[in-house]
Amino acid sequence: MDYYDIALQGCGVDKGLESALGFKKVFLAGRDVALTGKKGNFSGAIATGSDKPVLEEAARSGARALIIEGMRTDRSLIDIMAKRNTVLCIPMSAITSKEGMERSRAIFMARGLFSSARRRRLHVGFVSLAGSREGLCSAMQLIEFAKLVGADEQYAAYSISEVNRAIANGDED
Amino acid sequence: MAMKTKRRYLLVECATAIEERGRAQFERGLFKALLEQMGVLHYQSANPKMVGFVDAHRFVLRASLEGHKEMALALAMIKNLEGAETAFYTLKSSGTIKALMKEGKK
Repeated sequence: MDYYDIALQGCGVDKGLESALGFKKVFLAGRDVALTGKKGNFSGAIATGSDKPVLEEAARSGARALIIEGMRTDRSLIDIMAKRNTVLCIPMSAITSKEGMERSRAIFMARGLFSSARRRRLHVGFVSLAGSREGLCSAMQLIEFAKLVGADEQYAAYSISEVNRAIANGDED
Repeated sequence: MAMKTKRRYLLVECATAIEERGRAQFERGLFKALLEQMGVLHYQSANPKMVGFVDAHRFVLRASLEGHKEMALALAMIKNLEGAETAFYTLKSSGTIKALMKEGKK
């Protein structure tokens, strides 16, 4: 199975590190796929933010995936995403950037968001969204992160393989 | 007869170079950070041990079969070691050290 990750442009990943980490490709947000948090053209992009109206608009106007900052579960937003087949993206950086109790809470929030999304049969992509080399992680670690959030072994592998590729390439499954 | 504990070996890459003279201090810092991430109960179940250093960036850790995956995740959570920014990537896991060392030298 080929694994894919999505990181930020300028994270410093090269071909050698990419394959050492166990990925076929690390897509770069900003180069391979658009990443936007502002109102405008959401079509085909990964939309990120914590503002519900903006995220709803992004889902309605054809964003490929949404990153919900703060990871607060919102049923109406999940419903819109389910209708539009928008993928939910959970970045590992949202957990690793925090320390102690804050990190523990972020894991709890991610678990709630993941289970709510999967209940509505939404696909969930797990990505590193690393901004630097220190933020990157291996495919094995990303799979374990997905399992920590509540995915089973099979879905974790599927997510890092098929879902992440679909987010970056815009393929339908 | 006592049951043999099943172990896994992990090939880990450190984002920053590990100086040969500072390896003992690095090891202490790493296990302290792992303990912090895993908690006492999970740490003792994983029972991590340093097997050896492959080069300035790569080293091999040994862990129990049931705790090795959790340890890989704990390594991903370590972003700071003794005040310096760093990261640990678990590249490969194997049941034999020979296969892992071979991979590490590639």
